[in-house]
Amino acid sequence: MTRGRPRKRRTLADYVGTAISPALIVGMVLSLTLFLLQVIYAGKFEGGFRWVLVWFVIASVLISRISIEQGSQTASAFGTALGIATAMVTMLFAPETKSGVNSVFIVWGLMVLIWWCSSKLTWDCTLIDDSQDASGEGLLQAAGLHTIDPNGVEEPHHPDTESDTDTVYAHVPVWERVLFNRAARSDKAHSPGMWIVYVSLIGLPVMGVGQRWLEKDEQELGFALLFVFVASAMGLLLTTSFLGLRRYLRQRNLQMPGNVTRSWLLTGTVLLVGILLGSLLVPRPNATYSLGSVVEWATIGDTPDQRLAEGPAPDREPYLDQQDRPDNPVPPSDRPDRRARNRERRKGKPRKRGPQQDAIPKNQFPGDRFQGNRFPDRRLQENRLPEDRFQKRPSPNDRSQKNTSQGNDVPKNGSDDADTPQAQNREAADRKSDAREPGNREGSGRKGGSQGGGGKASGGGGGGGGPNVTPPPPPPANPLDFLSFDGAPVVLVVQIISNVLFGLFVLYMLVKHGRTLWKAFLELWAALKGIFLRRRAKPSDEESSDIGEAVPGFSSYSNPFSDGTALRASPSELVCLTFEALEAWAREVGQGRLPDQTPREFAEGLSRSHEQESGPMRRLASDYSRIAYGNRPPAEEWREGLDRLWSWMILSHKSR
Amino acid sequence: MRWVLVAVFLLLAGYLLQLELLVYAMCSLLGVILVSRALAFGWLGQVSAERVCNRARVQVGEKVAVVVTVRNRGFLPVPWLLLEDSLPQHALQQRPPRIKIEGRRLRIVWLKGRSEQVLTYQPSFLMRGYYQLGPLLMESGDLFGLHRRFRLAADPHFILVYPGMISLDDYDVASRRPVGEVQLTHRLFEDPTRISGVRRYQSGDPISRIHWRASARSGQLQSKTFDASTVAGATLLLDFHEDGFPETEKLHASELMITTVASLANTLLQLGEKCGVVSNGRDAADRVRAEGFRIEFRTRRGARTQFGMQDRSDRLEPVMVPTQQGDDQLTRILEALARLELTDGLRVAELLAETAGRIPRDATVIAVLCSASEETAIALGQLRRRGYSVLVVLVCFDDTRFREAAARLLAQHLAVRRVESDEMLGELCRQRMVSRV
Repeated sequence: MTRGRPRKRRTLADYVGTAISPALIVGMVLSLTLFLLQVIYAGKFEGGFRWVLVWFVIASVLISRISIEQGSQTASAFGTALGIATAMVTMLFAPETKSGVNSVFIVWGLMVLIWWCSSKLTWDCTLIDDSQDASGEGLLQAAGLHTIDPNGVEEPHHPDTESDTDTVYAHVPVWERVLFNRAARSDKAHSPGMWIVYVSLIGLPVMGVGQRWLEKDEQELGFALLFVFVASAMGLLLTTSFLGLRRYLRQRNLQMPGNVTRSWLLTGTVLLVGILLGSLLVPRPNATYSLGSVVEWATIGDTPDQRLAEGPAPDREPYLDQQDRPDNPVPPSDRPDRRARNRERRKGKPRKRGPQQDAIPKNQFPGDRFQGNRFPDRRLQENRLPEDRFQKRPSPNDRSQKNTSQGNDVPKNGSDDADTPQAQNREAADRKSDAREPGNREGSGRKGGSQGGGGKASGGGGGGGGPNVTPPPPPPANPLDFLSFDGAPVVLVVQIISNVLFGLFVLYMLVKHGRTLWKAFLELWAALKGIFLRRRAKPSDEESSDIGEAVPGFSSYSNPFSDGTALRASPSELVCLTFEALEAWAREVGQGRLPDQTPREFAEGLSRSHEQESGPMRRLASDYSRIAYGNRPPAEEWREGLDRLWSWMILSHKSR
Repeated sequence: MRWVLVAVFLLLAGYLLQLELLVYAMCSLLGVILVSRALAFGWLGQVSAERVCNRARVQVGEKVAVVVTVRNRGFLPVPWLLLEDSLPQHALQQRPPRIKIEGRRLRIVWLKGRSEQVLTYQPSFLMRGYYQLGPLLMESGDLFGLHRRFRLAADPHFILVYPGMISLDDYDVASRRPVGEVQLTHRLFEDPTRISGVRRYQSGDPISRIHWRASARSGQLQSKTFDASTVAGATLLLDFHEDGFPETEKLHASELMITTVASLANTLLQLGEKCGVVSNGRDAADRVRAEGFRIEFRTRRGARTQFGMQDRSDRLEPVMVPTQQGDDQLTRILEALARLELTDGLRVAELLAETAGRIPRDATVIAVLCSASEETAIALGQLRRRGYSVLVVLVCFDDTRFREAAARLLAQHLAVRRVESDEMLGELCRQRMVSRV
């Protein structure tokens, strides 16, 4: 801070961090974009589109970087050329559909979204301007999303912010924060990394809910994209926080020592990996990857991906859908594709969760559906005879012979035989064919199409020609099915342990933060009600509430003897906290402490009007004076009557 | 917390709607928020600190060694911890600075579990004052940058830096006579140790005034008469109202005024005379924050505004060191002068109205001013007319301003002397007094 001393400069760690950030931004934006494409787009050129969008994302990030380094004029030339070229390519790929919905506009919308996200994230995360003073606040605090007081209780309005300065700063509207790089308050500097929070808070629910519009065979890809999104966002947060901290230190003429850098990066990486994997351990419905699958992989020694990569099992091939076969007489162009299904969906037909769920009766055996979704290949193996598992894979000729022998009867079974192992095998084979041909969407469309498409395949479950087995009526879906277990003992034990741990964690959080959560719920409810009642509110109400926020009210204090603060706070802290609360309480009953009143005089005044609590009040004032003015600890009997005083204040406050 | 609640709702919705991705997304989101919050709070909560200073009172130019020990009481390592032992910002930023630092009072460390780090620095105090060292501001946060916490530790130390003094040659301020007792011009008080004569007893004379030997010799009751009390020592009246200082001279003039008063007091007390100080300045000790300390803060700025000494003090009570003799009188005066700060409170006229009753008449009033307004001159003139022996010392660097001020004071028949440097201060008592011819 001494004038004339040269300010510290960036070092290799800063440049490495700045170089990694664009890659993480690409990962974040790309995963979100591909996920949205997977949900929205239903044409034939999905692979092509993906290819184009991948390069578009990369280029947009790099052009944003150019605009930072060389100015917006140079970048706009590159950006215009890129935009025109990409728009033309998308026009070729996505002609107007028969339904009238022009998918070009959807893709152009995606392009705009990509450009905006890339630009914002790049400016936010890679522009670490040393001349701009860092705010020194956490991102959630700077965004106004999460404010917590020293006692761990959320505080909607902190007196610190007012005591910083007498100036009242305007709060920046949300739309200005979104469109421009503005902080929540006009006086605050922009905090790098803020846009990661914004994009994540929007992207995560979108991707989570977007699963509803994913086909069953797209679940794994969707999960992978979500995983990449989360990992990229966390990595970007880490990197940006790291660079921001280094800037913060440089502005104070400090250099981050090597051991701090190492411990920072090591701990950050451990946290990142821990949270990513820890979230995988949480029991999830229809989990693609879970602890159980890991254990199963360890015990069986074969990963789902490896099994997928093995190609179609010999006993699966005969049960392939008629449309999948090379000798299918129906040309691909005539087959009902996914877009047709989507069109039907948009017309209001109820959405089914997926062909697999359509096909599998849920009461086949306990945990079957859950297990069937998560471990289709394991079930495949279990349903195969041991000799089948190890027999030589049949040649294509054998397959064709089987096809011939099975004939066209197989597809006619429709969903009636979906509960058989063969149906499961067929689905796995479908998934594999999709995995091999990412651009060929007909593969995934066939399953749905077999129910309503062209009558080539048997239409409904009651289609003729099936075996005379009456399928049991499907029971209603139980939302807690994901808690059911498979029979494998190791998996069972591990799942039980993980579920118990998860349950204990939830219980612990509820016990520890239940009160806070309940308070937050009430505030949220009040905020929601306020949205609808705001029009009716008089301006004077808002003014009075603004004035009321200037000093903390008694309601912002919680009883330290009931929320556990008393266990970890020192006697001095507890006495000071109680005295502050007493001052707040007295303000609300119109007996606030006057500027020239000493603590003892204040307590005397209160004691006269509240004689029943005069003893604890006087003792509190005495202890507070010892601490504040004498720099001494409170007297031995400081705790006497303090909890009773708290209870009395709270009761009195509630009764008012 | 609302956002956490929304995430929890979405998590539950994910379970109910069997949306694996939503569950995973919300688990990750909650994981990041909760873990980062727990670490940000936990890391700071397990760190404590203490400070040791080797001295509490120093002279101008001396150093103090400060050692701050920070301990991690927990088992978890703290990846980064920014430590800053706070010092008054204005003292560092002022030009020329009041404090010069050797060593690092700002440092970033990582603390292993059950370990400690030491922060060592040596502030040199270049000007008199009352300085707060500490508290230690500790800053840490989670590694994702979502939360940042600030916590105070190690209670502050206060360092008193005495003002400098210059020896004055040939003290002869008030009386233009050699140092010693001088007779007052009016007879309000009599000195029982100085018998001036004997007169016939008058009804009402106390029995202690009867001169028994003379009564016996004359056969009639005789009473003793006394000389009036004498002027000895001085009460130093220091005007520290900020309106009296030109903006460009504020720092140097105020410091020179303090040096002047300290030097006069030192000389007087060395000569065995009594001395006291009256000032309208603000006592820095009044700004020491006794209440309102918070332990944790959300922002560094918020912490700074809370942990330092208060910027303002509404206290208007004049600073007074009673005029008396004694071994520790100089220390008391120097301590008061060390802590004295410019004020926007009482002006000289108000100060005199408040304190004139407590200023002894038997001591010269030496008013040390930077400028003299009409109001100030009249107030001092009234003091003179009430029987006080008044001398004005003008600490003024600008000749024009000095002439204007001196003219106002001379109009009130006040003697004026000028000080504009340390050298002139040394010769204060030998210089020719400005007076009406």
